Amino acid sequence: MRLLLIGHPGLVMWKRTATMRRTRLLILAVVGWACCLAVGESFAQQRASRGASPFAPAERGRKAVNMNAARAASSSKRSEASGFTPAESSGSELTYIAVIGAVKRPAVFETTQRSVPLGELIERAGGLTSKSLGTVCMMDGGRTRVLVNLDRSADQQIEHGQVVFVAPRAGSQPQPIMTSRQPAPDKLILLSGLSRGPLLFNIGNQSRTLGDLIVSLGQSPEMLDREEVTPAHPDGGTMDLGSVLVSNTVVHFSPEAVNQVGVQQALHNGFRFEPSISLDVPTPEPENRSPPAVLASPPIPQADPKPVDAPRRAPVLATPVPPVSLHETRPSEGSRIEAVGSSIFSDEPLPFPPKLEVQQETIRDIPGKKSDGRMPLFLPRAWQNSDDSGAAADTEESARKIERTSAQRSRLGKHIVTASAVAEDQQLSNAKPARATDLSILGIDEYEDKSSSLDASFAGPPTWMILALVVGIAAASVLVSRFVPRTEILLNDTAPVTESVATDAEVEQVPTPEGEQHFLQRLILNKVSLIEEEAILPSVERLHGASIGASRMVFHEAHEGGDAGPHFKVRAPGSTRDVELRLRRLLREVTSPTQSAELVHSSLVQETSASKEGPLERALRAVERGAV
Amino acid sequence: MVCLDFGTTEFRCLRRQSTCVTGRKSPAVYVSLPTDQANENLMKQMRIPVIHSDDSLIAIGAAALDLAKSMRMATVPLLIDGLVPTDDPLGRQLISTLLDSILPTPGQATPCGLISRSAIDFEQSTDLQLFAQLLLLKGYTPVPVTSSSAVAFAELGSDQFTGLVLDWGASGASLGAYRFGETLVESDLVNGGNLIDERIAKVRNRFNWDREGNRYLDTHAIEAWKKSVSVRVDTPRSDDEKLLAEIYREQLLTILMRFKTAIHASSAAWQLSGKVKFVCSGGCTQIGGFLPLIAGMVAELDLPVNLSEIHICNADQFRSTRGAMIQIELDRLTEKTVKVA
Repeated sequence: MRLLLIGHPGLVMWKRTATMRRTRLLILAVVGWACCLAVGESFAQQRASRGASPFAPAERGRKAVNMNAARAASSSKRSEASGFTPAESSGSELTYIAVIGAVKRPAVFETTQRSVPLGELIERAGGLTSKSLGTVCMMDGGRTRVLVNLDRSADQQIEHGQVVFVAPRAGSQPQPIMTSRQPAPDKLILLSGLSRGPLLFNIGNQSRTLGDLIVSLGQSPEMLDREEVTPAHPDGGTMDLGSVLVSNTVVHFSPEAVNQVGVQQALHNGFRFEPSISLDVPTPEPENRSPPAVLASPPIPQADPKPVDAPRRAPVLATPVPPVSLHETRPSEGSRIEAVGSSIFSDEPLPFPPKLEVQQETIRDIPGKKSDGRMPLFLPRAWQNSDDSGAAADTEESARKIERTSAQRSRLGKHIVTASAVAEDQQLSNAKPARATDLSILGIDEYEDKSSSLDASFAGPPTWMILALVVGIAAASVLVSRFVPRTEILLNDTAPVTESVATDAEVEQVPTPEGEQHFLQRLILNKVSLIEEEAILPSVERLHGASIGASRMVFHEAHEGGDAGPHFKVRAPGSTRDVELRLRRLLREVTSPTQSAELVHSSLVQETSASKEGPLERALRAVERGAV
Repeated sequence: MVCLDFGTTEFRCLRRQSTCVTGRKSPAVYVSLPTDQANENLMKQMRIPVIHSDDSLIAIGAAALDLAKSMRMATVPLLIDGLVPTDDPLGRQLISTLLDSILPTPGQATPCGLISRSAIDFEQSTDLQLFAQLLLLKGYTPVPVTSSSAVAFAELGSDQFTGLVLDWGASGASLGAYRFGETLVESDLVNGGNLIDERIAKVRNRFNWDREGNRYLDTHAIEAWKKSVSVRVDTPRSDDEKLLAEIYREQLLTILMRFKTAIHASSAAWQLSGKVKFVCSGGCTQIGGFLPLIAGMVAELDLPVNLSEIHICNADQFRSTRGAMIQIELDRLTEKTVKVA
């Protein structure tokens, strides 16, 4: 057909028709994109308006975090699920330290020790990420202290209330990816001064300002003007009330200026903080970390449950229970599931606690009913014991089903992790299953999970729409380049450069009296940032004088005998080495015309009388006398 | 502006930049090795910068600490009990070298706060004279500040620079009373944390030996033990803790008695009529149970000052230098105001 049209006048018409079609496609793509965004935004607003606080906690991991906190409540000083310790609880001996920034697992750590070395803290936070700059800022109150060389500062003791911020490289802040189905990364905000220790707050992928945060915490926005709130942007910029919070922002509140009633009200309204992690519990062994399971539950004795060093993202229940079909709603009549644990998705392999093993779930179909290959339902624990009649299972069949299910889920682009919290010993088997997997603890979580799944589906536009948009933009650019006349850009090399002059002037600005007073105020309040440099030794080749400092430190000189300390073999006074040296020196001095024989003799006599003589030395003296 | 703190354990320098301050610190120790080809090769391989002296290879600062750790050697402090050694020319040159490493390039007559534990008069202290001469040679104008006064300016800002300050470091202690930044009374003690470590090491026979068979007091072990969590000086449990608590009590009693005598002799007591804050700073105050101990002793001695609270500062190496910077800045602003008026 095309060949026929070549050279025909109708070719031009065909081209025009094609151009119009492309334009229509482009318009359609743009409109579709806008509609998708609008629907997503309206849904997000609707969901946000349900919560009392504008800061709805992050959907990912919310339930698990709450459960963590609930479990830790009996042992931790922090109150219940909020992760909050009132400032007035000064009787608490726990030390709270936060690590945030370019580390793998930012967290607030608690310990009974007075201070913790910086190196250990960073290690417990999972180590540095590849985006780390290698510089660490220690924030104490509103004051920042920069440690340039992390290697030299590993022994630096971090004390209660201090925040360790591992600086990421410039521009390495995670940007929201609008063209991906995956949700944007969580934003972690660190708040200090509100309670006894720093508090880590996960705002998910919401876009909120500093003013929103202050107001939702029940504080007055004027605190920022009065410098009672000190925000620290991770990239080092200044922040005002309208500044959008980015991940790793640290906000310090002056403890004496904090309205505790407002904070309590905010907690009542649903404000939740990440629970602190105990540093006193040893880290699980590396060999137990290998299975990619998402179980955060350690072998906790039931009598004294204690939060352990669980990875922050470990208790994530990101993917909800799949859509429930009629015959899967309840394990009635035929269908029964014996899986002790549940199945959850994870996007990264996570550490596995000790003494727990990954256990395949056993799923049985309705007897006599053939499986239709649908996604199995992993039910809450409360539903599992409803029918215990068919305890015997067909393991092969269930394993086959699991494989099939895994394959299905893999096709969805996610990695399935199947795990259960059944431990080897009896105590653990009696214990509750993992925090993240036990759906029976909180009934309300089902609803939250479903809603979070809806949110996940609105995380971004589908791929075809993105492709359409890209193609449309390309087509539009082609059209524009064809129809819009090109404007020639002439480069004028002789154009005066004025910007660089202005920059130089800015660098050498003279401090104003107001600026000096402001600096002094900040210095007195200890809010001036301190950058710690490494001392650079000058290139000194040589100094004059002998080193006598070490001799001052000697408590007792080397001894020939005695009752304390090790015994060293005392070097014989007439050893070969000494004789050789003295002989050389003697020969040099004797052959020198300026030295008189008397001087040589007197010096030898002085030296030998000062030290003990051996037989060899006596012989040498005889030779010397002969020479003289 | 630059401020210098010649501590017994490390030299610290704080300088002001436009809107922030930059700090440098370096351990005030060195290590000497015999001049030997093998040692020189070893230092080259370890990339440790060394200085040649007449009879040895010398590493100073952080490099000396690294070398001492890796070769299990004893480090030699540059200052003896916080003072410059008079009979060690090499030690004095090393002090100057280390000073160069922490000082920035000087501007024109840059004021430099010089923190001294006991004196602010150049005539009184030969150490101050040496440091002042060094700084003058390097282009700075030295301004002496006592350590407790510097801590007062750093920590008593919210109390109008009024209160009591105890600064107890490695080589001595200084206790002073201040009102609006003016010194009312100051008393000193030459015993610091190092002396306590030495006494315990002697009593408990904690020694190290070098390759030649020389014996040294193992003060590092005592220092590490003091930093452990379980050690408390208010309620000692073991014999070691009891000994430590006794030494602490004895030292505190000495300086508090001196202070009480001085404050009775002057008119400082009635000048501090209201309730004031008592701030404790320095490495010796960081031990467990120090707060109850000093609170009890203050109550026992019945100091003629009404105390509102006793506060133990956290470990901050640049506190004194920051305080000295505040003091010099305030003095400068006051001078300017007077000139304008």
